[in-house]
Amino acid sequence: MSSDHDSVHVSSLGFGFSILLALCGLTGLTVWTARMDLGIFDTPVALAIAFTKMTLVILFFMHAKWSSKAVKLTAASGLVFLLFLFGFTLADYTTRPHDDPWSRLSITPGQIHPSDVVDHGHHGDHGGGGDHGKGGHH
Amino acid sequence: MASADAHDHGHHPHLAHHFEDLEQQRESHALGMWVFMAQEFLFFGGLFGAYTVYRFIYPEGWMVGSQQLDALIGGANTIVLLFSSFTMAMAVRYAQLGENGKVILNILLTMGFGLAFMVLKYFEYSAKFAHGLVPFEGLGYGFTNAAVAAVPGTRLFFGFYFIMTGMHALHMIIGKGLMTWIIIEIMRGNVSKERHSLVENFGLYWHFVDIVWIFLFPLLYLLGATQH
Repeated sequence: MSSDHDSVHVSSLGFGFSILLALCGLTGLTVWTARMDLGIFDTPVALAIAFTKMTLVILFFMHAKWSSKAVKLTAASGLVFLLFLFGFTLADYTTRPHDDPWSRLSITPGQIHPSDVVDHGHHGDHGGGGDHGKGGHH
Repeated sequence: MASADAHDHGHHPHLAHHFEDLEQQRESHALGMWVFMAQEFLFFGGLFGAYTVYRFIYPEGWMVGSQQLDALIGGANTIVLLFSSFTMAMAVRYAQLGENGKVILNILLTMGFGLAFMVLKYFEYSAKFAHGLVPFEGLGYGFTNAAVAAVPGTRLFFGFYFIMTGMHALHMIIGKGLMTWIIIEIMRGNVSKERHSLVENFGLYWHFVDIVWIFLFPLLYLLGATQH
């Protein structure tokens, strides 16, 4: 029963550093793609990169790659239940007949910067609506 | 350390009585911690689930709210956290090798990066208070930024922003307390090449905190980053 000595995997410094570089590179990729107008793919692309980063951290920094089957199963169980949560939620909210939620997610209202509005506080009422999203520079 | 009294039935001083051998002990520690980590994934997953539902209901509010956040600070904190994850992974590496001096050094570095994160977070939160973007009237802070508040859903967005980044920051503060405790345990001689689950399991927790931020950064800070 004892596979004592190969059960603990020791990562080298160089390997850990290469994972760090990959994670930093993917962070740059997230920022780069976020600045592009990808329409409804903005969020799916950002999430795909985030999932890639999470996978790198779980496999190599959290040592899941070298863990026992019991640990792998436990680690996966949380993620599987999250899949249920998001699967059923999205099945509902992306298929409602009254509007087109996918296109709504990709809208880009005008920019509002804090510098435009920082002195407008304490007015009490929160505006007459209607003209929201048009207070920007462009 | 282990006094040489009742312990003369030949097992390693760092092996608890109820385990067969050191490997079973280590495996049990890891499994227990992973059960807790699964709970943590579900806890933050619930917050992200609620975020998703309300983003479908208030897409403009999410977009305008995100434009108020400082993506530069958010991005800098992402990098800071990734470096802290790297030093934590190295702390685990040296714990496995039994080089406790290097373990302490890497934990101190991890605490340093964690502190840098909190300092940046402090400046970020301060700006939100100054700009009237704090939706906690009950606590005496107003969502007084009329132009932002006029967009439906922005108040809710900032509710999610403060709760999600706040829960994340709370995890980091708890993590720094745990790191202080771990350093003390190492100096007391309670961590060794044979029994380093304390360092290894804390590593799992710290990497998880990094994972949460990996999702918070694009989903909170970058929604309004598209250039036209």
